[in-house]
Amino acid sequence: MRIDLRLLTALVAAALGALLLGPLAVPATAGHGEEGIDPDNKNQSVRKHSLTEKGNKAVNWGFGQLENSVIDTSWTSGDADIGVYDGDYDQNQWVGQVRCVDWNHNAIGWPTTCDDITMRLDTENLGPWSQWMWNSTGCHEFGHTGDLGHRQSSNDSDDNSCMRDDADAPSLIYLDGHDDDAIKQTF
Amino acid sequence: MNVSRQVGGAWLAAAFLMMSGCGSQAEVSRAVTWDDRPESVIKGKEIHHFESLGEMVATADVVVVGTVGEARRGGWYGDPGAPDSTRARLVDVQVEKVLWAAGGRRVEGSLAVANGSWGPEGIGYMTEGVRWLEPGERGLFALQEAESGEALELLNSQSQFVLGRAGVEPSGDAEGDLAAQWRGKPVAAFLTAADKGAHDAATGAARPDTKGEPR
Repeated sequence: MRIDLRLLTALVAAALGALLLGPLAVPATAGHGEEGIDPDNKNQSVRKHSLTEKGNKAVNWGFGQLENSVIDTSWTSGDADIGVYDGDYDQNQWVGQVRCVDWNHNAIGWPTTCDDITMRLDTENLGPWSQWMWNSTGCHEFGHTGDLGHRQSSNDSDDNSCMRDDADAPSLIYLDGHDDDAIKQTF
Repeated sequence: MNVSRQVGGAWLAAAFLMMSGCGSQAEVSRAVTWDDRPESVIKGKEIHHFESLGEMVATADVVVVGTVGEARRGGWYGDPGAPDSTRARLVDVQVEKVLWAAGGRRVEGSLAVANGSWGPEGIGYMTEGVRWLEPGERGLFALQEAESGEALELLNSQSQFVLGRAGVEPSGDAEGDLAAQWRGKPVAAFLTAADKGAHDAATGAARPDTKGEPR
């Protein structure tokens, strides 16, 4: 079999570059639905950072929903897998967000799973809403930390999941059986 | 396929580009290195979700077609540098056509538009499938005033449509109905539909999305 030396050189260079350059060389990603933030294990510790009363209740609710899945959740006042904040973040688009702030990488620097996640609830945008909407948002964001993506009416026909992708379903406060099965598949 | 694996695939490709001299260097400001491309994604729960272009237009403050200029760092969302803060990535959009300007707004020249963000540690984030725009790209953007007043922001993750030679590239969840309807379709057909959406919004045939308002 004839080996293309140029291709081989390029692949070796890419692998070395990944090793040497680390996270500074991370490139564009493609965005897709039905995906969340991939946690690195089934034991997720959660730290609250000076939450408002409604934010605290919402986080307790979402924590409980994730606990009902295959993921074991616990509270901590120290280093946490999931750090939760609420406040006014000066944007009008969203009520809750999660992002990975520390990826694990494999031997060639390839990001694999997420070690630390930051969760934010926007008190300004959630402010006028009842506790139901806060809890729905808490459930939704904790679902993302279990690698769940969004669901739409077309794949949540019984209107039963807090993972619906917009704020027009404030009464949906549960991770349903479909969501729990999806979390299991992550592990 | 999960997010991390998507990141990984593109990561390796970019590593190769940098090794071969085609990559760009991240800017360095004090101790923070600001990624020049998104490393990761932000997921979340949005206020709006649109079923049609008309509904999107009717909800917007401004809808324009324009060409993207250089990107720069903007202000902070939250307390600057705090662990829960993010920093805006702004692009200037040279306006080619105004489809909608609510309340008689005067729109001309160039608009500053928020597009992506960084964490306080410099990690670049792409929010909900809204990719970072590159200079020279042309797109349609459905925008709203931002609290900071520094720049306009997209209504939601569905509100950016890059218009290229390969057709329309919608933002947001790939499985979303609006994105699926327009992905890869001819730009001319899309702009005709957007014009109709603006007409429908002006005549009241299309109504703003109010589902996200408290009740």
